[in-house]
Amino acid sequence: MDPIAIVFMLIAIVVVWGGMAASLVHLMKNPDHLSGDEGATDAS
Amino acid sequence: MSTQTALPQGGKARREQFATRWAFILAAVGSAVGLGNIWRFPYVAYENGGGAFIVPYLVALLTAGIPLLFFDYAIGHRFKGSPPMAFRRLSKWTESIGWWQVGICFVIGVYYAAIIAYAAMYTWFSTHEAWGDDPEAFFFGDYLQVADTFAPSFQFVPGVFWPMLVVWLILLVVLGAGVRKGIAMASMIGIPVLFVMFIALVVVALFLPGAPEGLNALFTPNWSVLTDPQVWIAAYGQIFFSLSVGFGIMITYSSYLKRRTNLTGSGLMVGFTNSSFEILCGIGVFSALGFMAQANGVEVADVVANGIGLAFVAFPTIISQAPAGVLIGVLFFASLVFAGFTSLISILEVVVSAVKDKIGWSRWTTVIVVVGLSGVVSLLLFSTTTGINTLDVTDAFANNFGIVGAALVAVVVVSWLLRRLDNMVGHLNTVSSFRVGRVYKVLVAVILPIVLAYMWISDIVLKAQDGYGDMPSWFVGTFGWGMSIALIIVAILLSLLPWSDRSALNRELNDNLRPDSESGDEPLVGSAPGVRSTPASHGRHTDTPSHPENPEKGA
Repeated sequence: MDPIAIVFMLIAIVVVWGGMAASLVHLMKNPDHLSGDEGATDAS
Repeated sequence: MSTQTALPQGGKARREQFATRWAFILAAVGSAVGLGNIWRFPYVAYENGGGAFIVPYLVALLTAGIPLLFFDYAIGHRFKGSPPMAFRRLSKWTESIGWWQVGICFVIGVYYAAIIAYAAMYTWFSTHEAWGDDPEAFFFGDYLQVADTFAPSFQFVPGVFWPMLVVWLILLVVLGAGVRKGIAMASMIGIPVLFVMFIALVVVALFLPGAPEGLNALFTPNWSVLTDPQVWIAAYGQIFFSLSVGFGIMITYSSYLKRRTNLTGSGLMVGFTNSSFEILCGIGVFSALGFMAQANGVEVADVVANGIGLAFVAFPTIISQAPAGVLIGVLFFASLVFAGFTSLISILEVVVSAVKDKIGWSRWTTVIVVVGLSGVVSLLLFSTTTGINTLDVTDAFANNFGIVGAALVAVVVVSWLLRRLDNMVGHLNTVSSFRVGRVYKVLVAVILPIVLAYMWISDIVLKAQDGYGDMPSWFVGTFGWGMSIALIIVAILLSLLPWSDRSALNRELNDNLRPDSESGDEPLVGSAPGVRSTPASHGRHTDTPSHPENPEKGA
């Protein structure tokens, strides 16, 4: 593969799959009952 | 068998629910990940800048795809209903928008089953390369037995009819089993299997000779195209059609969520997972196309294809020529079957849910009637020697006229005519971790209508001027324009029918709204960002309101 194609394949993978991983982490850190305005109220 | 559970308070029934948010996320991913990911994205990316396409693609995902996903979630979750019921609760004048979306799902569902049947048969054909030396002649001639005329025939093609019948029977069982035991279970099995199969396919494809040339073709950026508006429209179109947004699926699925569900957090997961699978599809498909180009001594550009041409002509050629071709074939076509089937489940569930809500039948009764009728129409139109032409034109119009038009009307009506976008934002922020605000409202109320209107109008103008393909005008007029306009008329007529006493509108609990507030103007929660809930909702850690029928008792 050409270097430029490798770079852009990696960018696509890192950005999109990274977005998925970040979404997963965010979701794990925010359980349903503690999310949103109601969750903040319940947690306090 | 009714899956509704009566509540002691007030005699109202509880709507079916996904057991966990992960079941919902897998079902939503199962809906979003479909044939378009596998056979449309790689081609669109290649044709619109290659590696540079990632820029408009991500912009479209973040500014249109995910905002529209949140919009559907907000309507479905807040108003707890299939599209007609959710829009009816939003305003009694907007029920027809919901029925329009239901009609689109019905049309897509009846032809989608045919493609799954093709893929299922090709999974078997791959084991012995049944297409011989000429996959194109085999597909259109030997397999589909395509007629010379366009007028619908009733000459059934056994190789299409029987697998389609099996698809409809499985669909009957899955949808009849309900949200938890049917829809969620199918996705919890189907999606992991699909991902494992497709990853295996990508690994095999990456080791094919010529794969690097294929990936060069896909990922080498062509920056000059980024100034072309059509490339940006292509990116928005890909995101829009890929995410299963705007035609009722996400409204229906989110209506089955518990009241306390992190909507935006789940939506981000669904959106990025769908796109992640698309990137994987691009790598797998272009590795295989690179091999095909090398094996035939031509450029990758000469073998690039999409849709049915990619799946049923190009891939059989690759399978015949590649080492481990049988393995590639089985993995590829089985992936199409799994991706297609989990999407078909979600498409037909919109119709089932809408009929069930309006008439008040039990799930099994509704499924037998809806899936039975859909199956008969599907088999009559698409398992015959003229099925592929009818499929082609209905697909083009259902997507570009139907889905885009219905989504455009929905966002304009909610944002500008009813001015209820603040309510939607408030609802999202009441239960979700990823907050939305002014930027989100601008995206939904301004950017989305502009993009959708451009896509809708430009496609109408194009088809009005040039027709569709080489098809005769009467055929396009009947199955394209006629079908599209008929869906709108039928939607209006269905919205005029009264809701029976047994309907979900009158029998099901909506724990987001006060019981006397059918229009949703008096929410229990989420009227605006920062507005607190009533005492009934305070201190709850479960999704079950303490006094859903009478919030005053909860104080």
